[in-house]
Amino acid sequence: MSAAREERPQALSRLDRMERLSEAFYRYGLYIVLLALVVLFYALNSNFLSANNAVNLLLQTSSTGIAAAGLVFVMLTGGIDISISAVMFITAVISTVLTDMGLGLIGAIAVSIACGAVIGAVNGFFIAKLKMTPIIVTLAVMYSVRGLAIGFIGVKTLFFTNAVGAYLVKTRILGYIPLIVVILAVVMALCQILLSRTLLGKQMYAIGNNRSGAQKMGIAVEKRIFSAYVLCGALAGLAGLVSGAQVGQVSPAFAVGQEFIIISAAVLGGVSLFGGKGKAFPGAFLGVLIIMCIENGLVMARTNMYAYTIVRGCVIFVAVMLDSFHNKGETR
Amino acid sequence: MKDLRDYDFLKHVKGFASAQSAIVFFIVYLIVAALLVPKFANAENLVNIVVQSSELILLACGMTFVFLNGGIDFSQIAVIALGSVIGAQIMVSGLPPAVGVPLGVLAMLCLGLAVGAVNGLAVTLLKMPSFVATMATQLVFSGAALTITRSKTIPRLPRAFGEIARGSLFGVQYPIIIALAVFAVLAFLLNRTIYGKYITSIGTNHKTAKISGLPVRLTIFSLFLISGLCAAFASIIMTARLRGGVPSLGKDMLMDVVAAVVIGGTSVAGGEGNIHGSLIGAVLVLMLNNSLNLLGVSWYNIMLCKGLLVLIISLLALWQRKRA
Amino acid sequence: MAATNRDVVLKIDGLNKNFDGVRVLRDVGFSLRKGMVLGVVGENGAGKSTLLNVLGGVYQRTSGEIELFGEKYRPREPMDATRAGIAFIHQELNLFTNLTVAENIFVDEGIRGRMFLPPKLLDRKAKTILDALAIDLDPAARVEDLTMGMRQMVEIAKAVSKDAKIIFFDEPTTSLSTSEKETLFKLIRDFAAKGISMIYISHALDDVFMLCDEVLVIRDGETVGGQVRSGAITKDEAINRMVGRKIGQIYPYVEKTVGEVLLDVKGIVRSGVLDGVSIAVRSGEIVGLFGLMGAGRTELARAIYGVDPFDSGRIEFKGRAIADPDPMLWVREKVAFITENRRDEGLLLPKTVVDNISLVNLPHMRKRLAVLDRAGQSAAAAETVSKLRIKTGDANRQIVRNLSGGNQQKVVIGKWLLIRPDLFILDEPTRGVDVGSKFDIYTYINALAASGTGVLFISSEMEELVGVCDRIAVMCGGRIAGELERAQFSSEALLKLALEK
Repeated sequence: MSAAREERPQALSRLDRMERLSEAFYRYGLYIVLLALVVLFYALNSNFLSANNAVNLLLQTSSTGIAAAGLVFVMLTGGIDISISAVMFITAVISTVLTDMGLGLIGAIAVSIACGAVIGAVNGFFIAKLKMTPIIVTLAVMYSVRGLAIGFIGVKTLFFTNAVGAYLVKTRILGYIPLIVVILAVVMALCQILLSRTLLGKQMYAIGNNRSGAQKMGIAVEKRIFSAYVLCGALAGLAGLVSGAQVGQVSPAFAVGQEFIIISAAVLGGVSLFGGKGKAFPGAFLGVLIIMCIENGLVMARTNMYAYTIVRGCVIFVAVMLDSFHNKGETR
Repeated sequence: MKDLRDYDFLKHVKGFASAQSAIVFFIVYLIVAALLVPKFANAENLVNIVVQSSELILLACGMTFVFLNGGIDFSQIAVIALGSVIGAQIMVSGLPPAVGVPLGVLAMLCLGLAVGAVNGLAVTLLKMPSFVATMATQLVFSGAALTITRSKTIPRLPRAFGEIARGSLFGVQYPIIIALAVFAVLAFLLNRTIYGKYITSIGTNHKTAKISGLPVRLTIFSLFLISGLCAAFASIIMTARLRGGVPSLGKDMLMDVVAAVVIGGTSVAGGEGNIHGSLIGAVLVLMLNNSLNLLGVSWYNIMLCKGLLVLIISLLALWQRKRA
Repeated sequence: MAATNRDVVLKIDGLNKNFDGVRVLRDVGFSLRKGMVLGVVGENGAGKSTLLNVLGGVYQRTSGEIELFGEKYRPREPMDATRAGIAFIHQELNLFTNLTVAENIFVDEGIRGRMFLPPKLLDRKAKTILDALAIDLDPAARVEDLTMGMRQMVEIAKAVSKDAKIIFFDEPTTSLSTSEKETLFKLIRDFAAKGISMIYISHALDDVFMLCDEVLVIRDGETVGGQVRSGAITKDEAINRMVGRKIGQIYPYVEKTVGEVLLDVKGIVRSGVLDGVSIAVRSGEIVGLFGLMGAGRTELARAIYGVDPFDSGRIEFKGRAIADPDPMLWVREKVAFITENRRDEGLLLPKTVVDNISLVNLPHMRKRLAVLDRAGQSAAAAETVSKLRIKTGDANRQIVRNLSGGNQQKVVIGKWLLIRPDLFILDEPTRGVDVGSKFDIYTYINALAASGTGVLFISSEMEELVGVCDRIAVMCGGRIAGELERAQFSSEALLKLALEK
């Protein structure tokens, strides 16, 4: 639009310039950061760019990426879900147990998704219908679900090494592409189509931008928010299955703290904590990729393992800081 | 000190009386547990509960202040861990205990303030939502604790430091004295001073408070300092109890803290809070843990119970508010 | 009426609307024919918005008949109006800035029979609608990148896409540039030619006369002189009808001694809102600030008090330059400010009367150790309660949320009383306030001025400004259009300045 900005003040204040900077970052910065990281870690270790490592990186991305895609729906509506890690844990437990009893892969996927969706529905009910604070609801649900899951198996480690787990991990489509990466691609594609090409997606963006306006217009706000949490739970469930099969064992500490990584990946990928902005693909996916790049690179550079947490914390902090600058004033 | 006479015990009785629902929960649970749980209602166990609850009281009191502004502080557990590690490092660094112990304790308190300051700046200056800002600092500082120690415990702290957890004055153990002293100061700040009025006014409505000329940013900043400082006190007690610097200390306490505050009647929506309720809530959570333990309920089922409890309590609070 | 019954799309007869027993609309009646533009004019608060909200299903009417396309029409919620083919273009647009033009048009109902809405399809469908209206807009543009005028076009296109037969425009031109206004007018004429009926509410009388077939004047919730052809009445006659004579309210005016300049504001600019505003207030003087919706009155007050930012300009208080205005600083300087938004910015609704009244003066209500002086707090509040005649139960327990509007407003004023302000900026202090409380507020403002306080009194009610002020500045389009001394006061003169473009 040529005439779009005809009434702009001449001088940009310092804050304005800050905003411009973060805007530019959101547009191209992700790619630049990714590129810079790749170059950096390549310099540190020339194995980083090997085909093997690239596939590895994608494999590492998958469970986090699937869950992050789900979180996008919730964050678009201006909410948050920190129960994701617990959902991942319980579905990993359930699918291990059920596949050991003879359930097939399709069945395991269906059960994981259904189980996650049910927990998401609980979150959604409290948050959308009863209008409780998302952070408290999902925190409480996180504890309850993890407690429930440990109660289910007792304090021990399950091994997800049966035929189904092995099939999920080892299958290569066309002889090369891992099945898990295909699942990630399908999830990303479906989520992005849902977001950008359906009424449900459009309305979620609308709600995050101007909730009262959406209400006035007759959009079923509560139902949409509810469905966002259901979708988030369902994908967290799927992520649990994938992650369980990849790790091969499910202990009570399974996926603990994973919600931090997922949230920071989404925010880093341009999904705003203030609602109404962001994409599953490429946004959240790039966010996950960058974080996995960092972690992968740290491993290859033989950094002190305990420092990872520090790096993760810094990444969240910077991502959210940029988000706060970027979306200031547009949050209503 | 004439003004301090205002601050008599009766005021506290009134404060507790206003935490009605927490009191009711507390008494009902106490009776039920005493009747149903064997070995619960003996003096030793009850005293034990109270002593054990001192660090949770500290954390819950600090968290109450952050809740009052509609925020949350995830980084308390990082202050506990990193404080424990740093304090321990200083105490085992070869300094004589007479120097090392006070220095270590001082460092722990400073760390609490420092983490609080980072959180406060992130929220007030950078306008970050408190839950992610504190989530990030939590990761950074817990990570620092792990990195410094390579996840190993620093053992054999000076006996003098251990006294903080074991010693007693007139038969009352130090942790209880510390917790109650901090609680008293904070309750005084919140309920008796103009600063407390700033907090509740700002928590109710930022805009009105700003236009009325209140120091909104400074006050919000201070809430995080208080939360950090409370966590540092908790860290001191917990470290002293173990006489070791433990980098994973306090890891699982967040839910207990939130549960204590929510049971106490403080809403996450901000503006309405009850620090006396948080004190009761903290003891109640400990009682819950203790009684379920005695019943042989496993820790993960206790976890489930606490999660559900928080959901139910905040639901009840919501309904109560709606009816009012 | 000449038109045959078949042509009439909307007919209103004897419409009444009461709020808490107060009649806001009284026997309003008019009819709207196919393809006609009806202009509705009236002062602020004459009842135009209420009329709109009744027709839009936001409020339920108290009594009266509404006939839409020959059938009874009783909207219960906004969606009923949409379904019946009525669309509203409000001054505040209801768009989603993060979505594109096309997405905004289809976001509520999608496209029938389509599960997927690929951008290309949306853009094409939107383009068809926009083209039919001859609106030159890229359907793929994001709304946040559009000017206000363009955004309005989006809203109009959206209304039309819903098959609106009747469109209500509420002050559509306040934030539009001249060329954007032309586009809008052309569109309205096109609509009329296509048989869409419109009701056009505006303060810009010239526009109304030029655009509308017939004009309806509303005053105090009543129609004045019925529905007339726009050629049959002059602008001055319309202004006379809008102003009329009001009875009942007596204003307590007292003589004051005016001292030196307290507040001196020079050339405040905020891009698109304030265009170099200068105004001065002296001690003991009540300066009125009048203007129609969107003239920039509220924005000026907020800029001065440091609530909203401004780009350039100079503020002096008692001869000293105030570099970075900020509420905390103004409170120290004993300058008080009441915003027009009482509930969100003036009160702590869930707190008690005492807590609210003592809010501003909190820093001084201390004993040693910063202990809150509760006795002093209660005493000061009690004094304020009696001075302002606030009707409340025990002020220590009464929650402000449950007070009446008038008493709530008195509490907002009361919280500033304790610092004994040297300058008091009041933005719409009597809006939504009953007559008795209004009188109390005027009396208090007078008493303040008599004791040497300077007052900047912002209002959209001419009557009260004329009754209370020593001098009135009139704003129009972000500038001061003129100032009137007490001898020159008249509603006509004020309105003329405010309407000047």
